[in-house]
Amino acid sequence: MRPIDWIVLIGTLVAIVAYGVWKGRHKKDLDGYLLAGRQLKWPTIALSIMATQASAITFLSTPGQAYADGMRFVQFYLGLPIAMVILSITAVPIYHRLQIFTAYEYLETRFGVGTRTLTSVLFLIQRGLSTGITLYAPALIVSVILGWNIHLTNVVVGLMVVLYTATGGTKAVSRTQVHQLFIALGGMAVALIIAIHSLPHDVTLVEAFRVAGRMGRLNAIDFKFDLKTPYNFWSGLIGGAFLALSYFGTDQSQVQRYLTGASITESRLGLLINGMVKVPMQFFILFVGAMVFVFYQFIAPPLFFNTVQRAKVASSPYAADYLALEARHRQQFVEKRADVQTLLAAMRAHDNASIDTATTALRHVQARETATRAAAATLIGRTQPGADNSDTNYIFLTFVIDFLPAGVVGLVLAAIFCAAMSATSSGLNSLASTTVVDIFRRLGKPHATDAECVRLSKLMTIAWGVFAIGFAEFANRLGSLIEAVNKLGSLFYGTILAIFLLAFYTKRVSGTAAFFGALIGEGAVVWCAIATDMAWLWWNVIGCVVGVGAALVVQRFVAEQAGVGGRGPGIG
Amino acid sequence: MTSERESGVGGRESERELAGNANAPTPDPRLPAPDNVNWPLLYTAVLGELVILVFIFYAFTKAFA
Repeated sequence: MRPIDWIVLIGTLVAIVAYGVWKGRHKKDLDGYLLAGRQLKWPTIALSIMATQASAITFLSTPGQAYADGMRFVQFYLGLPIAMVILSITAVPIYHRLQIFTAYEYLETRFGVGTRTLTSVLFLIQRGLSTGITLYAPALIVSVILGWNIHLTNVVVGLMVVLYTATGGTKAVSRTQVHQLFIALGGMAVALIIAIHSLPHDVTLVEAFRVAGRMGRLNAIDFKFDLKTPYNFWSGLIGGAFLALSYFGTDQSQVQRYLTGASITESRLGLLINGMVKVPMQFFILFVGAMVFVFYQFIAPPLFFNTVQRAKVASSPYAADYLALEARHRQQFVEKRADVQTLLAAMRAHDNASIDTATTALRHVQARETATRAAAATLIGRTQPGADNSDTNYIFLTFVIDFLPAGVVGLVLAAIFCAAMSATSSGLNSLASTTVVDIFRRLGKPHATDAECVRLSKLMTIAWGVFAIGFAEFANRLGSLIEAVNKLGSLFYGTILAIFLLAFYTKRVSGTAAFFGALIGEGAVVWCAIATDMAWLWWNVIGCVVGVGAALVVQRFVAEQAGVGGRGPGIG
Repeated sequence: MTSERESGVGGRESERELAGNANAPTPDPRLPAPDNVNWPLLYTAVLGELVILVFIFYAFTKAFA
């Protein structure tokens, strides 16, 4: 890091925090603190929704996914626009009409306080841990690549977020997210331009595309149905729709974004714009990774991108084995570069037979290189049992640090930390809201004044911030971080969605049936996660379908026991 | 999806009902203000864009594979 990078990084982050504090400086009642007075317009809502979902993990891990696995991860988002339409039609009018603070408040009107409390607690567990990962991810990666102290990074970034989130509430969160998202996307755009510009001068953009495509990195769509494949069209469309329905419709960190809308129209437009922009945005981020992959076809990449693990294995008894793998990897890179040049020459000559021959040779050496990288990962795992032997998260930042010019490195780092701060602030904001509204005010002190609740919300923001920082200090061994955070959510989202679907669309299911249906659905998800090799996107479908089905069965039993149909008394 | 709900409990009125209520002489502040957005058209546009994107991504995959 050069001085100009530090200036750009620190200047950007300080400006964002100061802006957040300034925007949220006015004294507020609870409505003003938790929902920005319900006055926000759709552009702010849309950008806030996108910034909440797009954490630093999105900008660090996603390009690495494309580098290692191609662009098929984009299919994960295909169900999102469908979910945005469904939520705009159903959830938004309901939430607005009831003038609620949290999504879980609505459940009490339908199923009783027990179900409300159950979903609130599930949310607090899931979002509390996820917020910790959100904070931890960039700290881990910059600590490895730049040698920063991970604990200090966690604490500094965490405290900056807590400062403006606690003082300014939701208004500060939403307003800063607009700028944070633009900074993050701007940083990625600059990185993409430089990655393409850094390719050899005789390689055109279309040729770069064709090299990436021939090497399986532009595999955006796969229509083959396979329950065990994590990302294909069907898992993305169906599993992704269930996940997005649950995340945007029942997760307070997102619901709170569109509850701030001045009207149903503003909230709906915010969601729908998100539905239109999110898929292309993710395609763009993955495309950055695909271009970094092409870049490394001409410049030798390291065998393993995690420098800390690399140093550890180099000083272990396996050092000689690792050096041998590095030598093999270098040789394979030389072969691969030659094959790429052969492929490019064949393309320029429009010689289809030679293109096919060169592609076969290239894929063959690519497969051997992948095997060498896997062997290195295995060696690292053997050297340090329990260590993170995936380097996906380090690929993009390694490229940034090694090849981007002074100033731009600071900008990209600022982009990454802005993304981390925006997602963390939404998380803390929603955790505080749920704790105060659904737990404290509902179960503890129902007649608490607005002033008391605002004061407690600020304290809870700080408390959850401390929890997230604490969890971030201990988080480790999470593999690909973007997968980790989505897997964690998928353990709970299907079940929570089941409860909300029962509330929205059934008249006769009682709180008792919904409660036990949710427990059975959650059990099914846990069983799938532990005992089967089903791809995790399907957990959302299982949790939802089993939860709804079980609740309907339990309701029949409850109705027979009571001798009547209709709504039961509810667990609470 | 049904538009019928239990009265007052998480119910969802039709678009027409919502707009009509908002135009009442003493408007309830909890009800939405009327808007001129053609929602069915906008929903179709969102889903149509998804179909187009899938087609483009598929063509992209095939073109460079």
